Amino acid sequence: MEKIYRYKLVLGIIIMLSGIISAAFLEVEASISIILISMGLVIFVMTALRLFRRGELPDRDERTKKLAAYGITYSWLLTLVLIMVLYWVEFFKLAELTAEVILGILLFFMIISANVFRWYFMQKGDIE
Amino acid sequence: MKTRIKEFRARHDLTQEALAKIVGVRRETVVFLEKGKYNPSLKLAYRIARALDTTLDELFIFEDSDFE
Repeated sequence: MEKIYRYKLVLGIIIMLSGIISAAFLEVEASISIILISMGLVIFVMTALRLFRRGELPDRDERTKKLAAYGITYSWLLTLVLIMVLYWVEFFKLAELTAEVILGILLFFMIISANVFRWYFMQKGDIE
Repeated sequence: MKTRIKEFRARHDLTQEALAKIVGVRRETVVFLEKGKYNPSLKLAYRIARALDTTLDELFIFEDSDFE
């Protein structure tokens, strides 16, 4: 097993355990414990699935790296357009936008759009 | 771009997975290479040619339209 997979599995377990410990012994908000446990579980399960599926073949190669990089680039450009739109929305007072809302929108938009672009390029095979 | 990877792979009695393992890529990459949908790097193209005991010229067929 490659080191990176071992580290990810251990990281998942540590995050999950910290969530369980915080829920059982510490006086923290329940939502924090739930987020920690879910995060740890997702990291652990995703890593285990990847490890199981990949067999002896590499998980990433030049094609997947290239397409992931293009996915991030396209996502960045689209986010730039979104920022411009949000700027004009704020400028003309078309909606009540707080810093929290804008950061939330950008955070989810960047993550989701990068993954959507990457998935689309993976289906296509390559980008020309 | 057209490739003769499938033909050469069959001659060497290799599966897509076996070829992927030899050249160090994912099986899906071999699938897209065979379909001519993915343009490999020179390094990968060379590795495939070597694995299939052939040359780049034999393996990859470029047409004028590929350069337009």
